[in-house]
Amino acid sequence: MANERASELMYDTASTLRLLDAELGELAPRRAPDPSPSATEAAAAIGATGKVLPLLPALFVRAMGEVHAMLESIRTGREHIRATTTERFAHTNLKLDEVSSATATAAIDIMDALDRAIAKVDELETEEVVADADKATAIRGDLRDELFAVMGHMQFQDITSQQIMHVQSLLADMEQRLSDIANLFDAEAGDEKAPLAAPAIAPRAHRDAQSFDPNATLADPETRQALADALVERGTAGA
Amino acid sequence: MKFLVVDDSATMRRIVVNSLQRIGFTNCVEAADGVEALAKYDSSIGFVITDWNMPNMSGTELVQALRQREDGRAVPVLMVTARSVREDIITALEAGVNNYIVKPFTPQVLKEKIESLIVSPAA
Repeated sequence: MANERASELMYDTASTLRLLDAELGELAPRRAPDPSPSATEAAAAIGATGKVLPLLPALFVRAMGEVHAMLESIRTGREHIRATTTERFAHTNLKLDEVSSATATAAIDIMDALDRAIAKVDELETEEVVADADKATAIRGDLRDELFAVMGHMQFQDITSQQIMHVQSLLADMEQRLSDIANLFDAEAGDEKAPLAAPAIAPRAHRDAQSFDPNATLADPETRQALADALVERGTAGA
Repeated sequence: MKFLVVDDSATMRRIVVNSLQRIGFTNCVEAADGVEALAKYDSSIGFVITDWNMPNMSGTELVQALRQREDGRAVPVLMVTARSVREDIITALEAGVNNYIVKPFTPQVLKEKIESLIVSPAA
């Protein structure tokens, strides 16, 4: 009876060890062979000797090594994710703030120009101006200038478009990094499932990469133009 | 004088063309990038206004290509771009750009730069 129970226990232990070995093999299929006995080898040894306990320490050491390697991968992945999310999201947020600010500035400039244009129209209707053709002509000229200025303020669309393209490129970069990290985990786990879907943003962002200036801004055009003028002057003088 | 206005932004092309019309230049041809500009360029073009950042072929590449052509060697080229870093401006000048406008610009600045190049085309 006791012999029967011992055989059953040994059989169960051997099966459990085979299962453990298979799981560990799946977790690290590409790892170099471990010098400690595999669970299959241990199971065979148990079958031959009938002794379980002497082999357990070596098996646990091997299992601990595998678990440690997995934890290290997870730690590395977590660091990648942390770096990607905090730095890139902060930069993306900054760029979106610029878009918002540029749009607000342009909208205010346009409204100011329209206010001045409306004032000119009101002025044209006063009795004094109606009676003075020269004055009316001058005011109509000013009115045209104001309306034309509105068109000039529409340049904000080009600038914000470039800022948004930059945000797109940052998102594409994050998408690519996260995809790489996901693939890293798949490789570690020996996952043979179909690869992840191709990045959605990256191809477009790559195509548009030379269509925008990452530093495009509406801020301080006079100072920036002065720098350009100075460099052109220097280049012309040196020619 | 016939102008070639090159910008991938339709909004910017319209602003530049309207500005040109306002200062008296009504003959304009438009292109959306350097490749289209080169295809449309011929000896009848007397002035090129180009953006820098464009798909397919950038403004600096366009200028370099123009300077390689017999009929494009001396044509005045004005770059109108959002890029305003010192190194970028120097790069554009070295590529063959004659003058440089930073976006956003006013029609007055555009007028001054065009006049400076028409009066002194060798500049």
